[in-house]
Amino acid sequence: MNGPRFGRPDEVNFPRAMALYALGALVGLGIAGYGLFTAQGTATRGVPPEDVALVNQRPVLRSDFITQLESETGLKFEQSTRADQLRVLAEMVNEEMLVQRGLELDFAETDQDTRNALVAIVNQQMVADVTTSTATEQQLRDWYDSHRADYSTEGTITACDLLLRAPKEAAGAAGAVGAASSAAAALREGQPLAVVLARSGMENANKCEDNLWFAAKIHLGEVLFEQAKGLNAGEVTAPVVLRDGVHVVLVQKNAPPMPMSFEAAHDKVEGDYKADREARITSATMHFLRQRSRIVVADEYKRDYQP
Amino acid sequence: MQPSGHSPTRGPPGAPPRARARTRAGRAWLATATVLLLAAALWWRHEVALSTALVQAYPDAIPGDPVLEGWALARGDRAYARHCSSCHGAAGEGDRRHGVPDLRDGDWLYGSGRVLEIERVVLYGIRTANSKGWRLSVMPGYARPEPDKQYRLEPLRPSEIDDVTEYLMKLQGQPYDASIAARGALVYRNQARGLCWDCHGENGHGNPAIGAPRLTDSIWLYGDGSRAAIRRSIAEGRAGTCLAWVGKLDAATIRALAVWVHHLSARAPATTPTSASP
Repeated sequence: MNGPRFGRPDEVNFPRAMALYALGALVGLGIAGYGLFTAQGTATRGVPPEDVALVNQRPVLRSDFITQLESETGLKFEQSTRADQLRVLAEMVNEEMLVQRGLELDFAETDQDTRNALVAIVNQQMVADVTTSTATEQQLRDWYDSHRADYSTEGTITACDLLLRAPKEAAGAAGAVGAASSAAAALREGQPLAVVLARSGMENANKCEDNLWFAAKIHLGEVLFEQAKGLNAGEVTAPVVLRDGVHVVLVQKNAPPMPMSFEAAHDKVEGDYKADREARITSATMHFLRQRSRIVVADEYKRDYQP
Repeated sequence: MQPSGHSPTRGPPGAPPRARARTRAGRAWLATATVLLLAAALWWRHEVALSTALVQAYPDAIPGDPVLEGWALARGDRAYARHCSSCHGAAGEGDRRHGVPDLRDGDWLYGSGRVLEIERVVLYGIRTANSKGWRLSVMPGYARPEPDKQYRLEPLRPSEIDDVTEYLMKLQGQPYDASIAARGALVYRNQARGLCWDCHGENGHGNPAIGAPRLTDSIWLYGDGSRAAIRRSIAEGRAGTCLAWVGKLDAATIRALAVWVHHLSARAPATTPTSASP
């Protein structure tokens, strides 16, 4: 027997070649089979180690199980009894089965709470990557440079809203305006507020509270705020007649909005940058969804319908 | 003409030394390949066994198991460098400019630093779309017209923000003005306006169940603890986020990351509150 031998790798041996082919095929099949039957979501024999149960191939994660067990019992996992563990496991399996049944029954179509929850979660999911990402300093700087006008300090103002309740009669109202004018003049001369209030019979309607500009606009009302916002400390508005009477506003402090540097505006810039990206990604996702959906609108709305 | 029927290159018996050398090299190659294949198979089996043991173990027990912890630390180190370091820093030092916590300080916003709790953060994130994650609360921006989107809260006046800032300086044990801090304490505990105590606790000790930080230590998530930085947080609000990794990383890697972060923080000295009384 002088033919090529099995144990001589430098000789071509047909049985050896076939054996190696078969071995390779077996190893390949083994790896493929292992992957097929153990990959997450496809396991059919046994439970993946990270899970505590599979319900129609849907995993119940071991970490979720431990957390729920500790939450329900108030004990650490190692202190819990086996009965507790089995009870919680049964609850979680039941929950999974009921969720799957809910999907079969298509509650998303009929149950408003389910619909609301789905809409909310999908809206959040759309922007999750943006929400949890961190913008680079250069991206923020570029945003700031292109939106510089948006970044100013919120103005603060301390203003006293002095009110003289006016009689309804025209003559009385005119008299009230005159009295308020006198009070304003006295304040401009530097007379103490308490004295002016006592003499004029006016009331300090807002107790001279300090406020951010947006809040002062709400508290004073737009008319008075517009009169007051340009005044400096110690200045007084002219009398303003409103429905409840005649107002005079004494400005004690006023710090109008000032442009903010990038460093000072950093947090706002970051928030705005993210909000803009979230809005863009939401818009793009909705556009994509519309494109792949067949939307038919009733005749009476068809002409004006705009998504 | 080859009298024996063999090619000289195949090295039959009595063949030239060159052919025999080839035969020996071939056998050595085959043996080496077999050994390497066996070693790889054994290594793979070992890795699978450890990976399985890691995800099946009770998370809080892993730090007490040198074999599992060592394996998890090696895997977690690689995963951290790849997935987490861009935000948390190469050494876990965080970034107070963006509200990224220092993972080395042993101070926990959520929970108490158990591996199980850390794993929940890695799995489901913070303020992500995943409802299993932490997303119960945000720090309202009290200088905004609408401080909180979920709850109806009134904005604070600038002086009230200053007062609360001073009160927090007192809680920190830093120099403070007593009369301003006293006013700030009233706002802090006011049910109708500040409502700070609702999350941060009556005495500023925080609430790890909702991620409300302790205000009585020297650890800051945003800024440097200066008056200006504290005021900015109160005025502008805060709502840090962390990505959810469930479905993106496998279970063993997620657990390894949790063990790695736990190990990192366990080396830090325990944080103690300042001595200032609220």
